[in-house]
Amino acid sequence: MARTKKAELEIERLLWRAGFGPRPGDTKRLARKGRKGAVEELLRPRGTKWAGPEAKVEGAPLDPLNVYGHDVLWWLDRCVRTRQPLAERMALNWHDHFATSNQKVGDVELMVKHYFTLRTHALGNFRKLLLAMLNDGAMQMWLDLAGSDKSSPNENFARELMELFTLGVNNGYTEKDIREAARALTGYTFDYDTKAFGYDADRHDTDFKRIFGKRGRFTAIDVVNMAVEHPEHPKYLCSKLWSYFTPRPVPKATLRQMTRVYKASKYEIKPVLRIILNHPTLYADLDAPDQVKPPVVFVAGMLRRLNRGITYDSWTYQLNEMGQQPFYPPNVAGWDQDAAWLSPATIRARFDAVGTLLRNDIKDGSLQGTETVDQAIASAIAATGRPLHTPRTRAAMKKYAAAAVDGRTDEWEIKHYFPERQRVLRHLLLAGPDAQVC
Amino acid sequence: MAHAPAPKAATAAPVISRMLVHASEFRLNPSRRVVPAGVLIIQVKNIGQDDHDLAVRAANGHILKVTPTLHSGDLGTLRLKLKPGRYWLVCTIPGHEGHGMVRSFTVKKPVKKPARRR
Repeated sequence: MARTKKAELEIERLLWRAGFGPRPGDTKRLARKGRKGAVEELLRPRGTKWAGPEAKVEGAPLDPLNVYGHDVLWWLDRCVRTRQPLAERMALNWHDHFATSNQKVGDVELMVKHYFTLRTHALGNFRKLLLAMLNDGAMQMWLDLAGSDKSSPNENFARELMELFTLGVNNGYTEKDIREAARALTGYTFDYDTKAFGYDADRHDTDFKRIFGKRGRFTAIDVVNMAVEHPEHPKYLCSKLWSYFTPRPVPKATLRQMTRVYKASKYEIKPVLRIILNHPTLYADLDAPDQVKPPVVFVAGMLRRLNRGITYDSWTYQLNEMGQQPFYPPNVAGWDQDAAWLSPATIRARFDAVGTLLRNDIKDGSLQGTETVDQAIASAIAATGRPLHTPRTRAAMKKYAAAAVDGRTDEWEIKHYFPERQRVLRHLLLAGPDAQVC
Repeated sequence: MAHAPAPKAATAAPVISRMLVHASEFRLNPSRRVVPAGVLIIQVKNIGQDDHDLAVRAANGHILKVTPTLHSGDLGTLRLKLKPGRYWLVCTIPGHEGHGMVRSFTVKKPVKKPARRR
């Protein structure tokens, strides 16, 4: 593999896993900075936030609060147009981690605020992110923190705080710890009429609690701090972060390094990401990618590559069929990743979505009957933003491109089959097996 | 010789507003509580477990429009032309309004933008 080619493949890999794939020109520009330089640029986003055409549906800007489905388009649009891809991708990863769904919250305004909580702390400090979650309206509704009273403490937030947010299932806590933490988490209130969140000291349990072997009159903030300072937490969170960037197991020495750095930095996220994004595992087997693109990444990446914006609302339904709608994770544990994204139904949905995107691109009668096989393939590759494809795919495209117009010499056949060949080639490049992985 | 059609008098575009309502047991959560007079398109999403519907009731108690029964997960749409005044969103399934599935909203005269000075 030539050196330049390898450098570009590494950047392409990085941009897919730490963002939503390259926009035109990104790969070459970042390849000149080298892998390390590119990682630093992602970790320290600066300058304008957005690129590409603004989302419009039927000619009008999105109205996420008042039109059903526009919330999903709104988040997707941010992934498509961002110039700060790692921060935006981490917002999506944290959405998976804190998996809060409008299916229960039932209030898009709260969900949009929830998004901004995730986005604000995306590359920041995990303790601060968790404390922000404690005061986040959507989260308070989702895990019944709002309304939890000392006479009947709700255990949902306490349970997920330990099981999913900080420690992992049955990892260093007991059922008693959950019950006691739930008592410390009482007092939050919500008024449905005014939509005001608050805190009522009279509803908070001020008695002694015993959590993780310590005794005290603990409050909600104490519980969050104790969970983050629990000895099992760094290992759990660093492993989870690793899993968002590669399906391969984390080497023991790397996990030790990450947990050390995470603790030393007082729970900063960026130093851990720096280790992951510079790790050789992330760049292994560049010609055989093994991470399945989550649906939002698949769609946003395709639109970024083509420099297109969101112009219709079908993406909301298509993302649902593919298995991932932002604002609607399936349950408290978030989305199943990697191979779980691919089933006959979801693959079909991905294929259909590309068909919708390309449907008006090439009209019958728009191509000459003199186009050769190589020209047709070159044209399709250029039109789709030069996506990576394996020699196997190239061979299959060549075989198809020759057969598709073989013997088609009548005028009506040329008018139909040459454009049809181009449509199919583009479709294969954007929706075929190579396009599903990174 | 055919005459060119007479130019039509300029007419103000109708105001079309949108509202999204989430329905569950037993509450209605509208995305806004004040809308300008004109056409209002209301979408209602049933995020609850039970069946619900959504009606718009005027101050005189008349139901102006109601969706069909919406099963869990269903989306319904109402389109109404509303004059200024106070209206209520209600679920008409027996007992649901009494349990809390009622919210008011206000329709106000659209604010006219001042003419630009040249």
